[in-house]
Amino acid sequence: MHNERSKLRAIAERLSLPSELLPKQTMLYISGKREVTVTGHHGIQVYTREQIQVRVSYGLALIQGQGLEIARMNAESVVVRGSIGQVTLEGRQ
Amino acid sequence: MKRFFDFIRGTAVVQLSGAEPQRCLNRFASERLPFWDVKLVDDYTLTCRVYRRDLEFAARQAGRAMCTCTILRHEGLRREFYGLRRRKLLLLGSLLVLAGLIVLPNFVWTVQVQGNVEIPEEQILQELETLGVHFGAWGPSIESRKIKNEMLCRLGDLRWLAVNCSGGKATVLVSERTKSEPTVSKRQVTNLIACRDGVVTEMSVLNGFPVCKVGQAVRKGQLLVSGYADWEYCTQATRSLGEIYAMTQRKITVRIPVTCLKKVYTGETHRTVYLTVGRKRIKISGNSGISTPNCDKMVEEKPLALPGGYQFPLKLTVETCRMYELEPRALEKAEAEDLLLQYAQRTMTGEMVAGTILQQDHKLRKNGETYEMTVVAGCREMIAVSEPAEFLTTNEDANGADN
Repeated sequence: MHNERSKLRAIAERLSLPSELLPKQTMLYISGKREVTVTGHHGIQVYTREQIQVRVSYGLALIQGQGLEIARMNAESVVVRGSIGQVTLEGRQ
Repeated sequence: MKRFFDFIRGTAVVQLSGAEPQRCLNRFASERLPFWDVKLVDDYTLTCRVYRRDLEFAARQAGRAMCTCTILRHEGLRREFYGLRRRKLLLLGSLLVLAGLIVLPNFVWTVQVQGNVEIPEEQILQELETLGVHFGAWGPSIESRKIKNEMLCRLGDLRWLAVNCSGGKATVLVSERTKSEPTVSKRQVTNLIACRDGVVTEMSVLNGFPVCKVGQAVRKGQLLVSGYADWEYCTQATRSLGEIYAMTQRKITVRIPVTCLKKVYTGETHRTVYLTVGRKRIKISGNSGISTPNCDKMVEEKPLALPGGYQFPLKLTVETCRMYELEPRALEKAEAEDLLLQYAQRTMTGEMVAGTILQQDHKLRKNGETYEMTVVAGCREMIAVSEPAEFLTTNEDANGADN
């Protein structure tokens, strides 16, 4: 599975295709300091007002800030709103 | 818009409690259960909103995520109107009002005619009523085109008509035929002749050949301006135009009976109040039966209208009848003189084409059961009237033409 995804990514890079076209690709959209949208997530690991950890294909997306809340969530995407301070990506150890 | 549809579908706020309540959210998301308005209460509790129909499924999924699901409150249309189940009359009334709001504007409650000048509004309304445009008619069944064609056949003076129905009001727009004035042929040769005896005081001839002058006495029927002008080498034919004023004398005799009938009010009044709903008149108070025809009737109508001018088919009518008796009374001489003089002046002025009465002399006498007045008035009036001219030929001209 991992190999297949790596092959697809290599083909897409060679053909200069946008990475959005790849299946189950994790994307992060940061809209100013108020909203972060994570698509292709695997669920929420930690949910507090200061920190939300979202599981993604390569590890964790760590969103830190003040007054964070989940505005919308479904199987494809999760929208986090609040005063965003920091967005960190952590790979699997 | 989403809120409106959520209100219609019905939603519930649920509380998810457990060691890791976020696992519940993950479960909801993976099971494609829609949820929103996620709020964190504390580290072990959060609330979110789900659709009412998904509550059972949400509770099952929360249990699988080792959490408890508690319903905090229900919201939506069903919740808001749940209490109406017990208040059946209120529910019935609400439904009736709703139905009324939807259905009633489709009926015609008032018919308003606009744009008519010569044709009376009553005549148009009467014709429209026979064609089905009246109080209480079903608006969508009114076919403007068909009614227009029918009305144009019935009322010849109509040029165009349209019926617009909206909000219980039928507006009938009318356009009338413009009556063209009779055209005067410029080729027709006319003379101006005197319509009364008099002495010419002022002449203003625009066209034609004048055959009289200021200060000249003329008789009725005498030629004043000729349509033919003789220039020796040719004859010019034209249509005479002009105004000729003259001093004239008018004599008129008027009569009036010595005794006349006069109204004497008895002081008795009858007041009747009606409420008119559409075409139905409901008597509220008073007696509508009057035994004697000798009364003055005053009708005051107060229609119910909005500030913008929209009139409801509801009006209050107050009829007041003042009773009187006719009593024979002998006319005073001075009163008879006044009445006769006014009448004589009115008659003489009405007979003139244009002009005024300059001086008058009158004589009143009693002739049996009547007063008789003879008025002689000196007037300044326009005496010229137009008449087609005949081309006159002499015998010599006729013989010359034969040769």
